[in-house]
Amino acid sequence: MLENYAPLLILLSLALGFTVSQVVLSEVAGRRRKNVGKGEAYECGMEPVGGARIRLSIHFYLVAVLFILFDVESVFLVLWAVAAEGFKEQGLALFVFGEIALFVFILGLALAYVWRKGGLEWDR
Amino acid sequence: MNPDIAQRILSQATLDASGPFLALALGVLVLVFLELLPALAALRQIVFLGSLAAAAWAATRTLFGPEIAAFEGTYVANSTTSWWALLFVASALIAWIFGRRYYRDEARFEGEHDILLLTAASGMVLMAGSRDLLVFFVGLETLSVPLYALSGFRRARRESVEAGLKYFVLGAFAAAIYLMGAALLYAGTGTIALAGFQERSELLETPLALTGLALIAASLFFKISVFPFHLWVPDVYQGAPSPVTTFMATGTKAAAFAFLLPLSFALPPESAGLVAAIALITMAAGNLGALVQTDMKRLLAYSGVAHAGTMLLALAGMHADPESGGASQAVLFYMAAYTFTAGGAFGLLTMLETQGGRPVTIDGLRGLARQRPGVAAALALFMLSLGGIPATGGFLGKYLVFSVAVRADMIAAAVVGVLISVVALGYYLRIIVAMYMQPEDATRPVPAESRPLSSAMALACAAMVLVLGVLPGWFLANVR
Amino acid sequence: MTHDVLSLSVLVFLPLVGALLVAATPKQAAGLQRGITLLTTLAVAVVGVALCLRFDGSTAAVQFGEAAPWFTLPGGVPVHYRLGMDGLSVLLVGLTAVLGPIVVLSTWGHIHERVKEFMVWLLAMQTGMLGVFVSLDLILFYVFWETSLVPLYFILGIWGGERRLYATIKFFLYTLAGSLVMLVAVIWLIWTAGTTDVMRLLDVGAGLPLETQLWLFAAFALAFAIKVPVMPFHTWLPDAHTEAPTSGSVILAGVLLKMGTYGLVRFGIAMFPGAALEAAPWMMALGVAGIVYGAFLAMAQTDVKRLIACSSVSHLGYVVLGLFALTEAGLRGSLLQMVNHGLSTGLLFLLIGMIYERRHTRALDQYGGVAAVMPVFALFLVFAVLSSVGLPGLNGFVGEYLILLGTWQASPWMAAIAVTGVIFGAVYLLMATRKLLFGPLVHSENKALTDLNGREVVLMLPIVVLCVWMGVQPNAFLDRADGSLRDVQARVERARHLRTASIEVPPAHRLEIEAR
Repeated sequence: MLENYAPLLILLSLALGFTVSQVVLSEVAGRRRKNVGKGEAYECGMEPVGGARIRLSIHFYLVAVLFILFDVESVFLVLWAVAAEGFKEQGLALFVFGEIALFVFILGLALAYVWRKGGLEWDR
Repeated sequence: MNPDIAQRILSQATLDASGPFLALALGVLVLVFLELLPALAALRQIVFLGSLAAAAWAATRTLFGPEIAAFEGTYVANSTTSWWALLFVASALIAWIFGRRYYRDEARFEGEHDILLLTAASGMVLMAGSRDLLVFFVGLETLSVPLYALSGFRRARRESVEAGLKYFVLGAFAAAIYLMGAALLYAGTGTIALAGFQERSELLETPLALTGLALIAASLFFKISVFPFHLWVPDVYQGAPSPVTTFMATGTKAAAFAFLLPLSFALPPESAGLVAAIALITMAAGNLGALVQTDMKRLLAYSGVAHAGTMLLALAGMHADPESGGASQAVLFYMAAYTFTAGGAFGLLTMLETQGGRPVTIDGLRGLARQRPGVAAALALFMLSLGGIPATGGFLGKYLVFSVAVRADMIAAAVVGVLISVVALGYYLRIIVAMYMQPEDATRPVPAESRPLSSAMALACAAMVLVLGVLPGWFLANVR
Repeated sequence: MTHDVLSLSVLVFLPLVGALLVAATPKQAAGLQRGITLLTTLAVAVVGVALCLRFDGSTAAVQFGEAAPWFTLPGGVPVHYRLGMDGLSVLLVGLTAVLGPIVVLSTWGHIHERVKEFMVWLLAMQTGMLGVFVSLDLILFYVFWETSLVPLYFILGIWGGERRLYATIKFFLYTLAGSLVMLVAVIWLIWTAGTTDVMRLLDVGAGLPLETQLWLFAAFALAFAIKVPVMPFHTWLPDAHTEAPTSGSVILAGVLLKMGTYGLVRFGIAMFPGAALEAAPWMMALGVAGIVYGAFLAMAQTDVKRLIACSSVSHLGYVVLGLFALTEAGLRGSLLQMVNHGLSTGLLFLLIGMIYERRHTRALDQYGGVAAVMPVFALFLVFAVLSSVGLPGLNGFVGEYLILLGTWQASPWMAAIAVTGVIFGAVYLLMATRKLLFGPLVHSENKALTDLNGREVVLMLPIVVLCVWMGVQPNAFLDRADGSLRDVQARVERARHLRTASIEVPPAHRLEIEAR
């Protein structure tokens, strides 16, 4: 029962090891060059200190939302890829391929729409 | 994995069952495609109307037939869901026709408006047909997300943006509550299918499942604007563009009820008293709130809350006495009458707002009967129907709803309910008073353009209100 | 369904057809609109009177019956479009039909604005009222009952006096509140009985257990009591009457209030006789209270229209008293008094309207000595007042006498108190007449008043003729109601017998409920 959790443990130790090693490595091997920008706390393009009422370009959000949208769709592709093998064995390859093609087509349509409407242009 | 899964998914029955949804979804795709090619913009209206027509046609195919279950029973099409689908199509059509030429600053986004409207309608269809908590959730979001955008559609207007944001934040919250409820229900019963709940009804009595049910009920109550989850309604209805308000008032409520009815068997029968109390409080809150309003959209928003409470009374009756039946029919009929009545009323307000360029208040309606006798007469009819005066659909809807309560021996609740609904006449009459009995508002601009399409739609709504009130035989015989 | 021209469907829907015709006329053609309306109401009067004449009053059977399926309620209860006339409705149908053209003619004098709308509402109103009296399906009755509110609402609200909006909304909400409570009782009754046929429901109602009957009776009686209005529910009436235009007042007093008393007989006493017996002392007490209280109210009024409105409360107190005496004389008297009140009070409102059109005030102290300049008016007014106070030889006397006789048989005390109402009634009406007509002409404006013109005389003549006719030969009218009244009486006696014999009433129609 408990051994089922082994992969989780491995993943955890890998993640932990990676982050710790990165911090330690950069501390040991990195060059130090100080400037004002580096000293500031930084999060997602926003200044965390000071008033919240600063004007930010809407494009940040637009791009972020578009990224999330297409990013989430890719999750479905992964699921399909995992399940596709089983369908193929039952001779349903064409069917499942048609389905995912339709899905990708709709995604493509959405991408074309975004493109056409200028959603991908930064300066407009 | 079952080899005939493709067979089952792609069967004729599945196609029949999901026809209305497919028609609307296909319409959305084609509309998006048309947006790519500005040269084809002229086809937009044809595609929109064609998609609605196709959905309506698909719905009539399952109107009288037996129930078809599709997608492993997570989605069904039967007479009731087909009627709901027809109602959603009507609701979208009403909102769309009254919305023509409404948007001035946003005219170049009319294509997006149509796409969002159609997407929301497809979500409604999905909600009504779902027999599974997750399928319903997909429908709910397909409905809600476009509506968030539509509420804030007039982005240059503060109120519209406020409405959009308010609806979005609260709606997202309600969605989260729904998911939490669904998760708890799954934890408690091990299923998310309504049929599964029916099989394991004994598990529904566990605290875990009850909490889940309560959370789901709360989020649905949010959508149908039941006390105490109704506070967003006046702000959003007032701020949102009028055609969108038309659609929200009629469609959203209907879609949430369409699912609440098959779900409500899961609620324990002891909750009937609680539901009845909530219904009565909702009626009182809506009517008392409406009594003090001056803005017409806000007033109708509160009146919509009261109507939601009335329909909830039928649900309470169904709980108290599941054998008595008729609750589904009562709510469906009530909602149909409400769709045409409120749709027509909001539509006429949209028309007046388009022509006047400013929100319509009760005082702004003064003397309308002299300047625009047709508009005033139709609006008066809608008000009387909302008030449940006989010879209108509103009366028969009220009769059916209260008879469900009376048949379940909830006579005290019915008496309190009808007395609360007297209050409603107080403000409906005030509107008629303004239109017919007070001197005119000299500042009202004379309409520069005639709106034949909107006028025809208003006439059609009025005709439906009268038909449902005077010749309801066919509907009563066929609506189940 | 019969295809006879003289059918109730024609009677009921003829005004509505007229209304549609008027609605189709151009806005400015006031003459044409008035003409169509007058012709329509005349036709209705002819059909109505002809039906009343062909009506056989010796039996309680429904006559001129029509039925067609309308729709089916959930639970499989068929609702019918069912019309029919019996002795309880025949006189009221006649009254409604006859008052129609009179009211239309009276509008020549005071409706000058938005004539078209007014005529449409007036005709719609008549359809509603006739529908109430002849529908024998509970749902149909309810539909007519409540829709008849709407035209009067518009008539009061558009063409009324200064405080019309207050009076209109008060009137509407007051009556609606009662109607909606009745609606719950209607729903319950239909579901229990499985039918909407009023004639069958009469038997079902009488067979219900007493406690159930009492609840249902209370719900029905509340709606009717507000409409009548019975004493504690009367406050809407003076306001509505004072603010209504003359024609509105005439309809209100002449016919609309009778819908309440009609309902009390058919749906109160005949349908729930057991409950009616239980409630009779209370209802009689309310009736007597209304008689006396209304009279006192009337005495204190300075506004002549308000005075007549309060006198209505008093006069309708008699009707309620007579009905719930539950004796033959009481029922007969009440039925006659309904018509009497419609005629006499209608006439009074017409006359007050005519002088108001000339002088534009309703304050009693603004008049005095009018008889000198308007002798014809004075003649008619004195006649109307005498008819109203019950001068022997005129209609009011017969009704009041029968009611008091019937009440005496049931409860001498009540009769004794009610008799004082007759005296008070004479006092305030005659005092008002004196202030109006006689004495010195103190106000110079009154010297220039012109007497009644030909139209005004002609429109009042039918009422005068009827008042005399009913006073001299009341049985010509009462005989038509005889069969049905005997039937009501028999139902009451059956219930009385059951009560004294204390036999358990078999719950014949309640079986399915008991089983649940």
